[in-house]
Amino acid sequence: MTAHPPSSIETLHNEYRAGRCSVREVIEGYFSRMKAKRALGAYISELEQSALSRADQLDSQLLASGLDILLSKQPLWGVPVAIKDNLHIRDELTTCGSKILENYRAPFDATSVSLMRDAGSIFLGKANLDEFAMGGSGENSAFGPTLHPFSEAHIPGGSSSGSACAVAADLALVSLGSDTGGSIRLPASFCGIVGLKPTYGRVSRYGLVAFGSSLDQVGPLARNMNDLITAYEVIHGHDVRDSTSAPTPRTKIHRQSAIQTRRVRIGIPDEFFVEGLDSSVRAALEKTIQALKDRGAETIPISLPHSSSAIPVYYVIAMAEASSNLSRYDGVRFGTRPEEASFANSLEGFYSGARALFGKEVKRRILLGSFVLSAGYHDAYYRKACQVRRLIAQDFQRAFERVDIIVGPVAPGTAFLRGAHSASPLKMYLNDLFTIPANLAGLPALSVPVGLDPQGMPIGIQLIAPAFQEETLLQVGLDVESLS
Amino acid sequence: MGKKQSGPQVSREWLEKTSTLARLRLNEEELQELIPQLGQILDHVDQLRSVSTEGVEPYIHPLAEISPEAASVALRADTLRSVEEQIHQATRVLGVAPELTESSFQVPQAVAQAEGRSK
Repeated sequence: MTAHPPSSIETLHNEYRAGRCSVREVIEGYFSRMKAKRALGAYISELEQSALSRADQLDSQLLASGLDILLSKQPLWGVPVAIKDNLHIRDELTTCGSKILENYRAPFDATSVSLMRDAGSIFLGKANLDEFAMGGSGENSAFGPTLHPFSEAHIPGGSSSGSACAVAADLALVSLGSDTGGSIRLPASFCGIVGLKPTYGRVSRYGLVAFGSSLDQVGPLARNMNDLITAYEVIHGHDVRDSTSAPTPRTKIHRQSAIQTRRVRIGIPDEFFVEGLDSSVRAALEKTIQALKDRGAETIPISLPHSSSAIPVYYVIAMAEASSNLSRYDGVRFGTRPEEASFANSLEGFYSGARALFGKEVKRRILLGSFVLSAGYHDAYYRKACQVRRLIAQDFQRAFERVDIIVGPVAPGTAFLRGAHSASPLKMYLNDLFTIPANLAGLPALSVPVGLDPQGMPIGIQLIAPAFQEETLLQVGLDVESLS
Repeated sequence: MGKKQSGPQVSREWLEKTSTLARLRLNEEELQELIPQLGQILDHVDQLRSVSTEGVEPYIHPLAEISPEAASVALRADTLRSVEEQIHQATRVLGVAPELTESSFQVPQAVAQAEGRSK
């Protein structure tokens, strides 16, 4: 194997095709880098044995039939992948970054995971995350934080912290994450890679540990748009095992520029270019928008008037759904049962003993969620939030009558220093301002790198499309990528 | 609905009550830390009160909004599965329990002792 890790699926396949390396050599290269960079905290568990034996199987397949025959059926053949540790790989640990699932071995595969395997990819390990995908910094895992791949003093963004860090640090070529309020787009942006949150219902949630069921969506992270599109094509599609999966047909994305093939109207929401947006982020976005315009895109100012309500709406709904989803951790059917629970002398003591294993952020959200759903407060909080959620979704509907795509920042700034927001959960929540609206309205959204700030930290641009318009979204993503 | 004009007083009493509802036991340090934090978050959430939502239908789930046809396929086909297959599945599910007897989840005796209904 050459000393350099592959920069794309295509270069990796060219190596295989030319016989310059075996799959085993590539996978061994990844594991030796993973060992050297363990301090980054990108992985919770490494699957070296199973990955190497799979690599050997693939090497014999390659001997038996040519690479191109294999690739015609398996577009991710021989591609090393990281899976966020809230997605099940059968018989492997799924910890969700939590002590409560420390020893939990998944009895089945997530649909997205089995699709990735069927497409020929090799799982290197389970990627670190904020506990139960709750957090925006990657600092909330019970198994230690994930660090930024380029600066250990900074956070990589979360909650798919390990999925982003692994790809950016050459510890995987592609990864899967989940996005409830920005958990794919934010770390992708902070780590300088691409990340996609598909339309709600596009990718099966079967085998994804539930956090906010009306918001959660599985999606890919990659080093470039082409790899991202390949992974998206593999994982999307209707799944009978997820009753919230959309019965839309699988599609192949035409890998071409949007701007050069048709009229593209780009909406610029006033509310996304607010005070408080970091000046280097603003400058990078303005430069990108101008460049898209120069290439023929039309830009149209739009308004999303209810954007300022997105954070309070999101946190009421996400916490309500989290408290309901996490009520299943009762120490009876799965998970760890601490001594404290076993020797409790009341049912309440048993439950709270088992649930003592939750970390701080998870407890905060369960508490607030239990409160906003409690008798006397449900209407004032939960119902009210659901009503305002409709207003936010309607803002998008109106905007998409006039534009094909909406652009804005992914976050108000770039990756921040570790510990910067640990004293104030509210400040951490405010960082999700621009990513949350797409989850509330179920829309597909993409993060693409557009430059570096003066400290060398990556800046991302966010693109949002109407529901099920992933093709337009990804094509404009290709346009943005081609500018750099 | 919506009779309350302001949020709850985030007090120690409120937090203790809420933690009972959530089946979470909080120690003194957690209580001290959470009271101001949760107060701050609920204050922020209170800005929703100023948004006019009269006559607005709550948006509960995106599927009904963006993919209404999904409801028609939400049910699985009603097909027979063999007993062996069902036993195999049940065994896998039981296999992840913290404690089990031959065919059931096992829990410590807690209810009877607590409520004095034994015997």
